[in-house]
Amino acid sequence: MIFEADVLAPEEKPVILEFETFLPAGRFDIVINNAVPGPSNSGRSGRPGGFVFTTLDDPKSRAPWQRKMTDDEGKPLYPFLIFDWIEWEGPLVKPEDLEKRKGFFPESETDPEAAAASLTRFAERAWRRPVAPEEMARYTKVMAGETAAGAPFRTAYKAAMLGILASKNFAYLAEGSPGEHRPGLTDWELASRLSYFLWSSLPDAELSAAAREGTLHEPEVLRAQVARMMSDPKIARFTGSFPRQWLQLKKVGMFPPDEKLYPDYDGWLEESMVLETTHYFAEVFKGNLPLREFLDSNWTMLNPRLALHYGLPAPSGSDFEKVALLPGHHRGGILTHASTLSLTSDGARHRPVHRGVWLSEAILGKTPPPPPPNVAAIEPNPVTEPKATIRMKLAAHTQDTNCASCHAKIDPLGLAFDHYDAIGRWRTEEVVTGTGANPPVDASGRLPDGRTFKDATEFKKLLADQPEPFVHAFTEKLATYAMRRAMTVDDAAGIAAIVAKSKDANYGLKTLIENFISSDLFLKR
Amino acid sequence: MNIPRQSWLISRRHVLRGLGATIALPMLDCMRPLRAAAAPGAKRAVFIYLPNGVNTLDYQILQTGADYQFSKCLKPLERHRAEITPISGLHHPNGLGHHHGCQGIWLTGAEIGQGKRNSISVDQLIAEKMAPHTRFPSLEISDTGRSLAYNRDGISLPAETKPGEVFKRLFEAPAGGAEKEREALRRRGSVLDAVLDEAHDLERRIGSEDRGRLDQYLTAVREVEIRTERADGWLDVPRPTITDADRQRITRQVSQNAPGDYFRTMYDLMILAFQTDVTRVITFSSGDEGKGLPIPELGINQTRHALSHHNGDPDQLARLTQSDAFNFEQFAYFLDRLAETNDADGPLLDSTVALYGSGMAYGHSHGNANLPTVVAGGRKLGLKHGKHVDFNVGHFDGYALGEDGVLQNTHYGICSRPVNSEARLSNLLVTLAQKMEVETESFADSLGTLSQLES
Repeated sequence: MIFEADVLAPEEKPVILEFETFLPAGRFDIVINNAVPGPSNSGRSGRPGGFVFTTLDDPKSRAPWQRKMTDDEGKPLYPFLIFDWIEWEGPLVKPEDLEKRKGFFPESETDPEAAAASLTRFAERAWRRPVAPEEMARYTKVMAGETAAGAPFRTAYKAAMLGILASKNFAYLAEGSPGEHRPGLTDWELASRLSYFLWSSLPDAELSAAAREGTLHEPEVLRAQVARMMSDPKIARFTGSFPRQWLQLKKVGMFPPDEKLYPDYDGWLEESMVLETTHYFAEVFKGNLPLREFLDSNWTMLNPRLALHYGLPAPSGSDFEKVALLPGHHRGGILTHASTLSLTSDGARHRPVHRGVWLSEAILGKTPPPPPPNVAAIEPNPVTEPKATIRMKLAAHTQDTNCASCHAKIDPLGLAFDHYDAIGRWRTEEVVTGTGANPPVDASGRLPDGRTFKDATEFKKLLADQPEPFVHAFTEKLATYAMRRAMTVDDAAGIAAIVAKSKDANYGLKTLIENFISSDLFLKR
Repeated sequence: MNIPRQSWLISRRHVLRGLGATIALPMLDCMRPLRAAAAPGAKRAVFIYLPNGVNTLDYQILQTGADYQFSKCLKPLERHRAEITPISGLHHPNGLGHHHGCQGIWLTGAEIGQGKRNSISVDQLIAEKMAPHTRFPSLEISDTGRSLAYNRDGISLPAETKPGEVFKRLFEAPAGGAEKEREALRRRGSVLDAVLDEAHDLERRIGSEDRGRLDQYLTAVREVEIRTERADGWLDVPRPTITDADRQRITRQVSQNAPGDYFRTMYDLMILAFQTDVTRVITFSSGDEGKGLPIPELGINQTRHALSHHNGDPDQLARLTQSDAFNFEQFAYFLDRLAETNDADGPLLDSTVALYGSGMAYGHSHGNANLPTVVAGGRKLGLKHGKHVDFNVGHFDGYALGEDGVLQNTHYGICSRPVNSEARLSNLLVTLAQKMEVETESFADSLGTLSQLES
C-alpha cells in the first residue's frame, strides 16, 4: 500500500489527492482500488470481491455499462470513484537533501588528503561524535584496497562509506567507555539521547554544534534546544512512534476479525483505528493537555471511515479532525478508541481478560503474572443451552481461589469495556450462540480499592479522578522509550520526582516531557 | 581468476579463527568438490506448519498401532498409510498456556515470556550440518513472511511468500555475471574485515554485560560473512537447468486467494529445490496463527483463526474440519510428488523426512497439548512408518466417546492439559535431527528419542 485516503467529493467538485512515496528504481504495477466500507446493499451484483472498480484494461472487470450503478430514482447504489488522471513527479531531489550531502564527497578525486577529510566528516556525522584519525585507518584502508584492486575512485570511496555505516559505531549508541567511571553524560552523548528520543534520528547540525561547543548540558541551552526540537516537524516521529509502542498498537489487526461476524471490517478501517490514537496523542502533545485526557475526554480525532464505524457524524473533510463528543456517543479518551479495544480482542470475540491485562500494563504500569500452564480447557457453549456471555463464563475465575487471586484484580478492568465488541463498536447485548435471546451486557464492577462502577464511563471517571498511578506508569514508559532500557527500583525515586514536579502544571504532556529531560534520570548514565 | 578468490578465502578463515568462536559456526568446507546435482546419499528434511490446531473431535485417531482408522481430517493421507506415522499426545511444555506463541517455538521448544529469547530451531541445527552440500543451507517460505526458523541468537529468519520470487533466487543467476558478483563479494569481504576488526578490538576491552550486546552485532556480521563466503564458493558452479514447463508453472502469478493452487505451487517448488539439490532443508509456514488462509475454493471465507474460535457452532466446526482435510489433502499431494520424483538413489520420499503439524490442538481455548503431528518419508534415513503412535494411551481412561461413537467435548481437556508429561515434541525433534546427521543426544527440553519411529 503506497497511499490510502477517504475521498469525499461530489462528481462536479473533484478533489486532487497528493502524496509522496518512496519507489526504488524498477517497474511497478500500480493498482487503484475503491474500497467501499460496509455490507453491500445490492447483493451479488453490487460488490464484486469487496471492491467496486471498473477498468477498461482488465477484460475480467465489468465495463461501467454492464453494472447497475444507480437505483430507479437515479441515486447511486454505492459510492463510486471516478478517476480522471494521475501524474507522477520524480525523483524528488530537495535542496535540504543536497545540503545534507554537502561535504561528504571530496571535491578532488586525486587528492588522498581531501578524500580522507571528507570521509572523516561522513564518519563524524554517522557516528554522532568526533572521530580520531586512528579510528579512520580501517576505512581508509578499505578505500586503498579497492583502488589497488582496480576499482574507480567513486566505487572505492563508497566501499569505505559502506564500512562506516556497517560499523558498530553506527549501529550502537555508546554511552561511556570501557574502564571509565563517570555519572554524567558527555554533551555528545546527551545530543544523541535527545535526538533519538524526540526525532528518532541523529542530531542535526545545530544540536551537534551545541555538543561540540560543550554547552548543551547548560540548563538555558538545553531548554532552548528542546523547545526548538519540539516545534520541528520531526517531532511527528515521536508522537507517532511512542504511542504505538506504549499502547502496543502493532497488535491491531494481528488477528484479523472474523469475516463472517464482522463483514464491515477492512484494511483502511484498521489503519484509521491506529491513526486515531496517534493523532490523538499528537493533539494532546501539541496543546500540552493534561495526561488525564488520555483516560477520559469530550473529544477525539476522527476521519470519515472511523465516524462511520462509530456511528458518529462525519467530519467535514477527508482527513482526521478534532471532533467534540457527547455522552451519548460513548467515546472519550484512548480506552474507548477502536484501536485499543481491537488489539485486546482476538478477532472473533472481545476478550475481557486480555483487556484487563493490557490496561494493567499500559495504564497502571503493572504486569500481571502469566497464567499457570495447566489451566483446564474452556469447553464451547453447547448450542442447545441458553446463551451465555463471556462474563458468565469468567465467573469460574472468582469461584476457584487459585484463579481469583489474580483475576479479581484483572477481570474487572476488562469487563468494564464489555459494551464494546471485538472491533470497538458500541453494543447493549452480546451476540453469542445458544438458545433464547442475546443476553444484555453487564459492564459493572468493583476496583481492588472497593470503589464500584456501572460501566466504562464511570470506570474512566474513577481512573481520571486519581490520575497519579497512571502518571507514574506513563512517565516510566516515557523513560523506557527515551533511555532504551527497562526502569528498575533504583529509578523509582527519579520518576516520582518528575511526577511531583509536573503536578502544578496539571500533568501537561509537554511540561512532563520537559521536566523529564531536565531531570537527573535523563541527564545521568 | 581463481587465485584472488582463494587467497581471500584463506584470509577469511584466519579472521574467523581469530575471533575465538563463541558461537559454533557451520562447518564450511569450501574445498569440497562442487556439484550441481545431488550426490548419492543426500538426506533432506522439511517442516510444515498448520496454524490454529484442528477440529480435534474430527482429527483424533482412536486406535493405536498398525490397524488404525483414518479420521475425517486425516482421510486424505490414507493413500500414504505405509509412509506416514501420525503421532498423538506430544506437546511442548513451554508452550502450555501461551496461546498463539506456540508457532514461534514449534521447532525450538524455547520458553516464552517477557525477557525470554527464542533459541535455535531444529531445521537450522540440521541446516548447519547440511550447509556444505548445497548452494543454500536452508529455505524459508511462509504465507506471511514470518518463518518457523530461528538462528542461534533466537532471531527469526525472514521467509519468502511468493513462489516466483523464491524461484528467481534459487535458480536464476544475478544480472551482471560471475565477474561482477565476484568483485562485489570481494568488496563486501574487505568491508567485513574492517568492521569485525573494529568490533573485536572493543570486545577485548569491555565487561561481560556489554559483550552480550555486542555479540548480537558480531553474530549478524558473521552471518553476512558466512553468506559471502558461501556465495563466493558457489560462484563458478552453474545453476541447475530447469525445464520451461517447471519454470512457467512456478513463476506465474499465484494468488493466496486460491490456496489450493498456492500450496501446490509451493510444494512443486520444494520438490524442484530438492530434486536439483539447491537445498536440503526447508521450512514452510503454510499459515500464520493470525493469517491462516481462508479457502474460497470451498466457500470458506474465514481465516483458520476465526474458524478455530468456533464456540461450539456446528456449522463453524464443520467448516474447520473441511479446512483441516483440505490442508492435509495438499500435504498428501506433496507426498505424491515426493514419491514419484527420483534422485540418483530413487524416490525423494525415501530420502526426505517431512514433519507436518501444529503448535496448537484445540484453538477455541488455545489448548497446546496433544498436538496434531504427522511424520512422513525418510526410510533411507532410518525411519519406519505404518502405525499410529499414541502417547496418551496408558495415561488416561481412553478417548471420551459418546453413544454415537463420536468424541465428546471432554476430549478438549487432553488437548489443553497433557496427560503424559514425558511425551514431548522435542523428543521427536531430536530424533529427526539425529536422522539428519546432527550429533546430539538432546534438543531443547527433550527427554529421549522416539524409538517407535526408528527402524
